[in-house]
Amino acid sequence: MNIGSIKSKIILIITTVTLLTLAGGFTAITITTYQTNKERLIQDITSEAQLLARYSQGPLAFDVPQELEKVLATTTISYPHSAAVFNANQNLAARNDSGGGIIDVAEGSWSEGTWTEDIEWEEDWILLNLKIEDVDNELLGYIFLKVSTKPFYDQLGNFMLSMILISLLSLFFCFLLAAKLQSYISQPIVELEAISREVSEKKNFAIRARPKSEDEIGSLTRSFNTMLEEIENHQHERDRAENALKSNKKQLEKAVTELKFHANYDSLTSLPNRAVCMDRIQSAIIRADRHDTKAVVMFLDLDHFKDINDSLGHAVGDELLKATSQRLLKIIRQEDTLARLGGDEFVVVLNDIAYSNDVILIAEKIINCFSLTFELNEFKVNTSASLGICFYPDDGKTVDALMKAADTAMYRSKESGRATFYFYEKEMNAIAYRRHEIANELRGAIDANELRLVYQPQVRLTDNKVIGVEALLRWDHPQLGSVSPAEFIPIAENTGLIFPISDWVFRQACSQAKNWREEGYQAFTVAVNLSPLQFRRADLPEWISEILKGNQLTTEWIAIEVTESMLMRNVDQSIQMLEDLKSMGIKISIDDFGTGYSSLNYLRKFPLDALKIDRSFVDDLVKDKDDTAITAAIISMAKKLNLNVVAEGVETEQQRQFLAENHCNSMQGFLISPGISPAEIAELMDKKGNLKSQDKLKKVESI
Amino acid sequence: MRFKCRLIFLISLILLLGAAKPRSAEEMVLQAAFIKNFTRFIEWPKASSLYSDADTFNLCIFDSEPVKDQLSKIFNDRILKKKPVRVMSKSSPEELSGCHLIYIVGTDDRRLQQILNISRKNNILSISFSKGFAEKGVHINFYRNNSRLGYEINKTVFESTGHDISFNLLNYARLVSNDSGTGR
Repeated sequence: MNIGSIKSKIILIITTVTLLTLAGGFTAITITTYQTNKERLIQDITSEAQLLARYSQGPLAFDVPQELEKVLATTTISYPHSAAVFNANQNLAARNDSGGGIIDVAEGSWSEGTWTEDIEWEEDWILLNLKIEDVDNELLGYIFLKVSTKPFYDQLGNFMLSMILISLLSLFFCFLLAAKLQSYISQPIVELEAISREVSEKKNFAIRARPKSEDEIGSLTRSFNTMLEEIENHQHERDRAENALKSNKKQLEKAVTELKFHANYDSLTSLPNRAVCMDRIQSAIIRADRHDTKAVVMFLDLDHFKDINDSLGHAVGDELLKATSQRLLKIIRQEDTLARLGGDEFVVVLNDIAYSNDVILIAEKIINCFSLTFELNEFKVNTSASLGICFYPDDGKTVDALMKAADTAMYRSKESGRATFYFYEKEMNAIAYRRHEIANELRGAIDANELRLVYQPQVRLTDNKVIGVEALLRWDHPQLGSVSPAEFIPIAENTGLIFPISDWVFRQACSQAKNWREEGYQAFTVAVNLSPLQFRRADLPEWISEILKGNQLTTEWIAIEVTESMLMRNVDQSIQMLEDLKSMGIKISIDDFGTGYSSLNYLRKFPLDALKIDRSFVDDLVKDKDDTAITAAIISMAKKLNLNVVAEGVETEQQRQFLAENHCNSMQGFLISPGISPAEIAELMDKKGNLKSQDKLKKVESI
Repeated sequence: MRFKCRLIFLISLILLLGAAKPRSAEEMVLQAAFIKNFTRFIEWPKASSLYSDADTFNLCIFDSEPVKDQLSKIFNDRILKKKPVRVMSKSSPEELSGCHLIYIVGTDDRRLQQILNISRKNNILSISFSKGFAEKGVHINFYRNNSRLGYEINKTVFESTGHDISFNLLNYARLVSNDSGTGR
């Protein structure tokens, strides 16, 4: 049962009241019984003593102790006791022991010498002293009575025990009765409580309690129902209000979301707006500081946008802006930002730029993306953009300063005739201009016959014989002069010119090899450098095969040089391509070995013929201990992999000697010869004793 | 009383020694002790001077100087009924009016009746030691039975004179009544 429940409380109250009543009654009855019985006992004993005293008068007066003893033996006291009679001189006259012990001397108050009449109630005994007197109250003697109280207390104890048993029995029955009867009071309350709990748990205020009685609890039940009814009504009203509030809140949240979007984003293109743009520039500045890189701000303005708007309408203008944002988003990286400031003004923020030249490539891409016609609804629109570029921290330290610098650079683009980009920094403009110029001029270089190949011989270290040549591209421009491949090859790759140029190089090299063969030289390898873009061409083997066939050349004449980084870009694909080429019989070398990050494990997997040790190692040979050790290690390792080793850029006799001592297979460099014309190669071959194939020569001569 | 007969027997045993010689000194002491106990268990009528103006307990001996002398010695300086004892010898019934107790030693019937008449009038307790005196109207009469001293009580006399006697005396007494009835 629940200790705190109303049921148990009622039972507890009834039981407690009963218990207290019983305890009170018990105590009162016990005390009364004790007192009454005690008084009665004293009275009985006193009467008995008085009787004994009277019967003792004669025997005492006539001095007959035997008679006295008989008198004493006639007491009707049922409790254990003893009696004694003393004469007037306080000497023992007679005594009787009926369970109280033998009396020798006076006890009680008489023991103190004063023989007065009294009765004493001690713990174990009642002591009674009485005088024996004659008719004239003359003292005859004394009688002493000693009665045990044990039976008295035993009786009292038994009485109390039975009282306690009866009380406990009553209490038990009272508890049973209370437990039974409490439900008359508690049941309606318990039911009411259960209903109120159901209401609170289910939040169902439609539940009603059923009044069962006409007393206060019945009245309480009716009041409870009335209260529930009121709450139910309030609840309905509140639910309605809450629903209204919820729908308002949703609308408000939607409005806030929209408002936030409009506050930060351009509604037409969904690009970040000016405010966010400023924030992103600030973030780019922080990132550049942290990574010790540069941040770039590009300011872009469409050319003649106003004219398009005016002539084709705002709708087309808006479409153009959207299309522009789409094209620009494809160019920039995920971590960069494209924002629209308003009108036809866009800003590009580039993060973590390590090389300024990379920016030129991106700028070119942006300018170039406008070269394709925009197809907007039924209209075809051609447009261009002017771009202004600035760097953090070079051109400005703050967001405002950078925006101003980019804006200034953009106006310079406009002034210079639009459809181009300008850097805020003059020097960058010069670099960009040069790139632009090279790209422009490179387009006509092949047709203008400005490209040519030179060949650098490779000499075997053991016998100094020429075993092959490397074809090197040269560009002689009438105005620009001799342009380095290092400068124009990246531009060619960026502009796609690499394909026609590579095609020309390979055909030219093969054509030259054919010439040498026809001149009667025994086969030696003509090594051609492949660009990364070419190496990734799926039809590379077919392309090579076709050119070789066209020049009636066997594959022993041709070697291909690739770089480590080209192979490592996609290892599986590279292995496949190398194996295809290898199966054709084409020799493959790794160029500039030691500058990339190739793994030796992969090196083992690649079907290669030779390693070409980069000139940077060879330059410091003998002088630099580390480079010397690395070179020796590369040679040793290559030998173990059954690869030939070619040293590039050998310029001194010491270098040659070291390489020879370390069993390097061959070398190329200024010590032997720079890149030279085919005629000079032939001359060198002759000088070095490279034998011509007499049969072939004859055959050729006969043709 | 339940143990009456046995008591008498016992008392007789106690008194045995004094029975050999009448009026010997020992017997007188014994009788004096009895007399003392008689006064313990007998209440004189309220009208008796004993409870009013009497200064002494007057113990009178009728006509025997030797007994008077013997008892005088025994009761000298003794207290009876809370008063000092005065033993007197009387030889004529007329002199008896101031007595409280009379011990009649010897006399004839005529004189005895005179004495008893005066005793009745003056609330005097009468004691004797002569066979048949109790039946003749004396309150208490000593007797000797098989050398034992006993006493007999005429309850009728006690009732007529108003002397109240305790059961303690009756316990040890041989009860007799007036001459007209049997002795026992």
